[in-house]
Amino acid sequence: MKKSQEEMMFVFSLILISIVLTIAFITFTLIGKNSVEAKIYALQNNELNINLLNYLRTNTSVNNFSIADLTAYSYYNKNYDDLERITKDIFNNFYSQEKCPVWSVTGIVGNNEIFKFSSDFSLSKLRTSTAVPRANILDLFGVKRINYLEADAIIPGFNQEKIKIRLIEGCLNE
Amino acid sequence: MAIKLYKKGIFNLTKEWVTWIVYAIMFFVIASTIIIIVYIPINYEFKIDGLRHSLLRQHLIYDKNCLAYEDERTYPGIIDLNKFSKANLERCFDAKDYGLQLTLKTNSLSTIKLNEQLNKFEFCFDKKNFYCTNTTLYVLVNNNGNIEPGVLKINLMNQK
Repeated sequence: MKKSQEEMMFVFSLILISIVLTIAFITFTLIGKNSVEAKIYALQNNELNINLLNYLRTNTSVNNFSIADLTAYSYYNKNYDDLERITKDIFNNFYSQEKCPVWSVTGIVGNNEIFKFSSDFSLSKLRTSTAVPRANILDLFGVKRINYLEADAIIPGFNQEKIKIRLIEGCLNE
Repeated sequence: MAIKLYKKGIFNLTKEWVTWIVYAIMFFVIASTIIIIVYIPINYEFKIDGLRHSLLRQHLIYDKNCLAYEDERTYPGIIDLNKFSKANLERCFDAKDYGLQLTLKTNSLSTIKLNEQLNKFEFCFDKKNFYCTNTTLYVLVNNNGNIEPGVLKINLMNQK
């Protein structure tokens, strides 16, 4: 390679490196304005456990059973009408549609789902009252994301079956 | 002959340029990777306000000195109505940097505010400067042996 060519290459490489470094600097300075956040949501499940525990301990008007007893009783009789009515009464009052539009309580024995009660949720409930349809779409895609949590408890049946009760709540991110 | 050499020179220069462009791309990728690897841990910011709020909430509902009902043992999640007083909560909730607002709803509604200098106006009026959480728990309330279901709203705030 001629000396003039080498010099030209050297100048060219310097320019290239300068451009690359400048782009890198601009990129990372811009990213740096939004520092990486590690939000810790640990222990939220403990609070859902409290909700589930208190739900199971709640006394009902059916034979003065607690919900846990009523669940075992309903499983024994294969009739979940009272349990469904009381569960919906509790959780529809407790979970506000605006903040936590999704909840479900599932009973599982072995691998079989024996009952599932849930909120009468539809996506339309997520829509805000704004008159701009575009805002509704934005709400559904990201702005109003639902954060799901799950808690399990096991209660004994009348024949010592293990009945797993699963509570799922879906709340909108604040 | 001179033209040929000149042409060959151009060809060599173009070939070198292509090689350098490839090198430059590789350099950019490697340099970016190194910068990202170094940069992310340096700028990783752990926001533990949510965790602190969780711990304080659980202190309130798990601790027998706060709200948890106790006979021979403590019942987390069962609220002793006798302990739901400002004086008791001021003793158990010794966190001066946190504004607290508790609302217990059974058949009646009672609200207690602690550290009112932080939440004397509408709760969490300034979301830019304050970190706020608003948690609702399904609780059982022990009112002198009579247990009834209720809803406990715990609003916490602290300065960012």
